[in-house]
Amino acid sequence: MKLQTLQLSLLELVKDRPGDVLPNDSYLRTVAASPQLKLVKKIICWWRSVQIGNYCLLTTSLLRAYGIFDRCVQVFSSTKFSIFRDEVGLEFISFLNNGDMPGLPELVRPVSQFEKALILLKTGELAGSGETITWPCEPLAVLDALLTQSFSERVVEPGTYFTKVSAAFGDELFAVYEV
Amino acid sequence: MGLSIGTTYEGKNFSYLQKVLPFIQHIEISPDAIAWRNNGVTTIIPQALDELKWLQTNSGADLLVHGISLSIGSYDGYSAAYIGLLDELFGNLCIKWHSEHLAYTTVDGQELGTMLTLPRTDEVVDMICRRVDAIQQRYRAPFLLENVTNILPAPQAQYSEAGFLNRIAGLTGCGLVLDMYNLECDAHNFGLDVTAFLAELDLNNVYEMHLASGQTDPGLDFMMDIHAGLTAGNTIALAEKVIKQRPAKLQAVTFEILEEFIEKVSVTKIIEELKKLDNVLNAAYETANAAIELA
Repeated sequence: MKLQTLQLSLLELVKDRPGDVLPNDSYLRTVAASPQLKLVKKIICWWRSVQIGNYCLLTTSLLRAYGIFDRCVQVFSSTKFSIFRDEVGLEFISFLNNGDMPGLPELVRPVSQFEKALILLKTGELAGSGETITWPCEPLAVLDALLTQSFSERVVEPGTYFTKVSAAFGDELFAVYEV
Repeated sequence: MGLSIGTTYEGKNFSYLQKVLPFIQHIEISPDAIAWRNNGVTTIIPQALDELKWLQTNSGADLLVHGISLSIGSYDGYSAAYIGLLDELFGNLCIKWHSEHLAYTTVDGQELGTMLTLPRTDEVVDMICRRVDAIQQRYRAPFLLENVTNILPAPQAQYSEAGFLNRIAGLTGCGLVLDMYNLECDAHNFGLDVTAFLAELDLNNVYEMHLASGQTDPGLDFMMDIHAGLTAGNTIALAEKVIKQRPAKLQAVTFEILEEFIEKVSVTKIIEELKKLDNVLNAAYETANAAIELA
């Protein structure tokens, strides 16, 4: 089998997209049925979990609190992602916000968008006057709980707030406003 | 002059580097671990580059580069972004040699999320040799390829594991990094005859050995190269066996450990490990060379 065919087929298998695997190829059938293929997928998810966990602390903390982090990483791992850990983190946040993971709790969007804005502020890539994120609750209590790995629904005080992340705030990074 | 003992550094814990520096003669860095995306371009993190410049100015430690994302084995080409990182490192630092894995991590522009070994065929040999030649023309420092542990069953091969490495090194003049723990993983997982492998491999192409440990998937009883802890006695014994063969170009042994596991293992134990490797492996090296002088 040519290298191109082999590699494209294995890509489909590890990404859980086996539709194009050559049906008559005995080697690929062997791989598809092998326990090692399951292990490869497990390893892929493990590495993404480590990268994402190290890079998106707030978002990871929230998803773990909801018990859905592993599932989100598993689905994300079947998509296209970068090898560089800071890019993977941002790609994961985009993935959570683009509708590919339906049924996410309401707080995932503001927390992940807030985290993304802070990351871009740090790398000097936050455009214009900054980023404004709308929250369905008071954000500081949520952020404090996430930073201390103690998030629960008890800290969620409903209300309409927004946070603005901007370089204009200097070391303070962001401001919170209640509507 | 004995073997240089070193360890890996991922550019995130400068105080850790300073603690281990008195006990090593080289550090091995991964361009991928010290890269970030800045204004849409992947470059070396400035702080990490400053640390490495400090290292070169303030210590006698050699700098080796060992990458992950080159993906030299991808059918559709290797990573231009990785080459950009190498350009930046070579442009700013004195690098003794650089190495990468004889494997691939991307296909059709998509990251696999792990590293897969290559089919051992003439098609792959030809492709790899062209790419090694290009890399060796671009950078003056020696370029080495490392043996990678197999995770998936291997397709039909034209070469043995050792024969494949010999062929590529023989045609290009590139060197090899011999990962001893990877050999043990392949022995456990797929029945590789390590003794036969080492007898067949042209050890004179080996510049560097990697020592590591990993984790075993309990469900599959599958050993994985995760760089999660200290080196086991049998891995060190295997390294001694190779050293006693007196590979002509062997100069360095690198203890690999992931940043994520440093705290769990402890800096104290890592330093003890480096001292032990220095004592044991350099004793073997001196014995092997003394035997030659007496002969």
